[in-house]
Amino acid sequence: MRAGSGRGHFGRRLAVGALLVCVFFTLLGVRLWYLQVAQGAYYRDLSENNRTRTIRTVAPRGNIYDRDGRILVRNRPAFNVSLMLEDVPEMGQALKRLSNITNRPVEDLEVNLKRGTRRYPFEPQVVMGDVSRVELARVKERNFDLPGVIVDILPARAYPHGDLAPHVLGYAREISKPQLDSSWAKESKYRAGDIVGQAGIERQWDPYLQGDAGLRQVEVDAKGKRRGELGIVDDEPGQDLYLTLDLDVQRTAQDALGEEVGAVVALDPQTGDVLALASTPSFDANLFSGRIRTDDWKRLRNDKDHPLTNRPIAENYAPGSTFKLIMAVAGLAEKVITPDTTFDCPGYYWFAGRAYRCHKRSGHGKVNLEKAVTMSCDSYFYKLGRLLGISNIHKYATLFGLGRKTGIDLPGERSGVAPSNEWKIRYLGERWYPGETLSVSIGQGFLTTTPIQMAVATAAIANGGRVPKPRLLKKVVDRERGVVFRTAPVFSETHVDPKILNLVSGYAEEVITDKHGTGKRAAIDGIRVAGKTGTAQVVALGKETLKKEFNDHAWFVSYAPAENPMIAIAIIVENGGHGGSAAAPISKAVMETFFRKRGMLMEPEVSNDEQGTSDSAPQRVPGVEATNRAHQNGAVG
Amino acid sequence: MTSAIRVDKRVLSNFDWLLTAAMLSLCAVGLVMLFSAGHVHEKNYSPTMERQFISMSIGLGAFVACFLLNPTFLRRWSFVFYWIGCLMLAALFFKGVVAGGARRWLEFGGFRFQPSEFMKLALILAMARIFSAENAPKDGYDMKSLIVPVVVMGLPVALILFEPDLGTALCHLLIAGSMLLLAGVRGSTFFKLSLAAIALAYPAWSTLKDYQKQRVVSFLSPEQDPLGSGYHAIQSKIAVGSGKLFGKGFLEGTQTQLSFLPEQTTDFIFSVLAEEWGFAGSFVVLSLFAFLVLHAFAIAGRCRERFSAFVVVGVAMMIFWHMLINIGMVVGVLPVVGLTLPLLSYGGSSVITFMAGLGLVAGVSMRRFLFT
Repeated sequence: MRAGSGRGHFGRRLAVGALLVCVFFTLLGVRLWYLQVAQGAYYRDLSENNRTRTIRTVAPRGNIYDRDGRILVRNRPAFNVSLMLEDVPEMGQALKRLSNITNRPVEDLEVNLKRGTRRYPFEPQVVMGDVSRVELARVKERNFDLPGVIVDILPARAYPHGDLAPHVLGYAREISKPQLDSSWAKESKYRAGDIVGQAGIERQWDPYLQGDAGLRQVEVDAKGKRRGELGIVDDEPGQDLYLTLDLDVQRTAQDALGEEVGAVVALDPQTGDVLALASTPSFDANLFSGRIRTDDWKRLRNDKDHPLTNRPIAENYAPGSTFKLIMAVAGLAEKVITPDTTFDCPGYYWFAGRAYRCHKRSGHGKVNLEKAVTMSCDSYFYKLGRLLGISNIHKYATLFGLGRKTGIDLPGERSGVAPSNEWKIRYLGERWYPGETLSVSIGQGFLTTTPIQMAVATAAIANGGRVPKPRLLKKVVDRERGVVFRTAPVFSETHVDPKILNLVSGYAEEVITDKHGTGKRAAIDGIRVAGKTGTAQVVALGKETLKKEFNDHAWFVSYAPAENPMIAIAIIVENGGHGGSAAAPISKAVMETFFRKRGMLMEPEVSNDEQGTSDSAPQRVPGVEATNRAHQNGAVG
Repeated sequence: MTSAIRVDKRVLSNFDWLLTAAMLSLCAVGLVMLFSAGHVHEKNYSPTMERQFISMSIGLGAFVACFLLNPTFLRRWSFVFYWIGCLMLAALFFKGVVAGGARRWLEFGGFRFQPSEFMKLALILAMARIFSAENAPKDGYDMKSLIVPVVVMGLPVALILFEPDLGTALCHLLIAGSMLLLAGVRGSTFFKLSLAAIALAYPAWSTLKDYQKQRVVSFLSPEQDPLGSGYHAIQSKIAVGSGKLFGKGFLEGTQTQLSFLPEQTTDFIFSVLAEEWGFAGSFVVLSLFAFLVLHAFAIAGRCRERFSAFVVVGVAMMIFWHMLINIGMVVGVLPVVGLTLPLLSYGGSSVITFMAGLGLVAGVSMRRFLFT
């Protein structure tokens, strides 16, 4: 059979067809050239990105030591039980089994699972943080019917001294989802999975402690499963912090507070070093280092004594009579009185048609400044307050660091209030009434301070008028490079004549030594201690009650040795009653520990002897030292 | 009665070694790629490659059988094959094995095959018979004379569309259509048909299944849906492009070995080649295909017998369209349509069909001097 006459046409059409085929082949070839040669490098990068994943390895945090190099915070291995979600056949069942094995509630596991900060497939998600050895053994035992369950080890924070200074040290744990979303995490180098300081020193100096995360580059397949390791960049461990804190002084302070609710601050007046910063009730910082259990957290949050509050810096109290030292300095410096100026104390001070009572109802009689301080005569200071006026009182309160943050290197500090006419107009919308000056003169009324402010002010009186900025961080030590950062003492000057401070210091010594002195229980044989008691009123005058929570707060500020102060202390015991009986013994205990370490204390039998004498010390002064706000309002009205 | 097989010594001496070599080369490349794409990790063993090797052995048998077949016999029996093919397609509705939402496979005593693959060859034979008939219009088909070829072409296309298998139906249409164009269509008729095609485009689009529409949409902008339909296109482009000039090396393609590349033993086998052997490897394979197609065109051009000439161009177009659509998809210039790459993609029915088709071409090539 022949192709016939159409053959020539067929041949032509074949030729056209072949040409078209060639065109298409060429187009494919060009496209391949474009992708593989022209754009080859670009697509090679894309394929590399596809297969490689960079995993951060969290660096161990730096240790924290006290001023003598004793360990306060270190790392320990923590065992986490995680789930590889991709390998878990049935989530509900897996969680139930884990919960049965470990007796942890399923809800806790679910919460952890939801809180997950997992970024990639095949990244284990922690469901039980920091399991105990017993739990670990049980999980390992049952490993065969727990598919997808993984146990991994991560460094966790350990606080070997338990409830010692948890408010100072703070705690660190895995960055939370809200924190991760905050601008804070975005501005800094924080990433999911990082252990981040959440409070206290751990938070304040986190950049030093944190170190630099390491990187592990791994090869993953399309599902995200790891196939191999491509490279490692070692992590850079965090740097160690040396604090100014003295472990012994801190422990003594906490022990001396005992079951009481309160605070103790001990400073080195020459440097601002914080030797002790105690807040009670305390808690065990280890509770927070893993994943805190919900019930522990609730217990701490709901405790009526607020153990999580760092009282020395975050609680405002009326300073009570401890403020009279500053009043005395102000009076002398402003020359409204001289040391010899005497006022008569009939047991009250008459002003604007009513009597402001002295704590001693029978009156102190004729008192000069020395007597007024040692016996804490309210009438004298009412009069002095009238002579100074609120603006002068405000000036000196501010000079000695009240009404503003001390600048201690801890988060959460509050500033208290050093009131003035301007302050009252700004915050309360009305002018200052002269009657209110009287309350402030004896450390009540609108005046509030944190314990650390009182410690700083006391240090300034002790050291000749320089207000130290308290510091907790002494130096930062890199494990390889040595000291990388050292803090220097910072002071602000009061420019008060040192002679005046010497005088007032002398009066403060008499508070301890005078037979009528209110602070006798702080006395230490062989060391010149200066101090001032205070009582911050809690409820209305005259309301006699047996309930402890209505008792007054007991204050005591002190320093020693008076001739060359090495330690300045502020103490508050909430509802402790009178400062001389509740707070002064704490000062004594703290100072004894401090001076014993320095070989300046006589032998223990001496202190036994002292205990004998303190039994016969004058009984606690009953009654109230000051007027109260209700009373003032009455006066105003 | 002509015998089914008719060969003499003179004919055998004209055996088309070049064509056979090109075919076997492509088969060999396919096996290497399947080893890479289908091997079980940590073991030097690829079940996919082994099964393909068996298919190719059968395909080689089909190749030999087809080149031995007497063209006269083929021509006589062409409509019988055609009807067998159509019957098998119809049988899919009753006995088809469902996979991926479509009935594409028939099962015979443990063997599974796709009737639509066999149908391609049967359709080529039927169309060749029509175009080579005595009464075929000498000056090109007009509307009236088009009726028969269009109906013959339309029946299997319709049956395949109902499976549904859009890609394969389109493939049949392209093969038969291009044969028709080579047979000649009058200019005015071609113009009218083109207008009709444009007019029908919208109703055709509205009958597409959602996943088919999605494929077209994701082809137009794959980055819009990187995890869905666009994923294939993106990952394939990355695999191809990242091969650069000389490739990442055998078994070194990360897109392939780490499973980023989808369907890497079937539709995207060319991506494996492009990734591991680079532009150099792709170019060699592309050249082999070009050689096969153009060589077949040359055979058809030299062929003195119209039926055989149309069979050869039919097979050439079958290879060409498969290759164009598959590689076009792999390099991201055509939408993702599940069409195999001839001789390289994993799949028994496909490999055997292509080798059988090439057997027909080799047979024609061998007999090219017979009718002088």
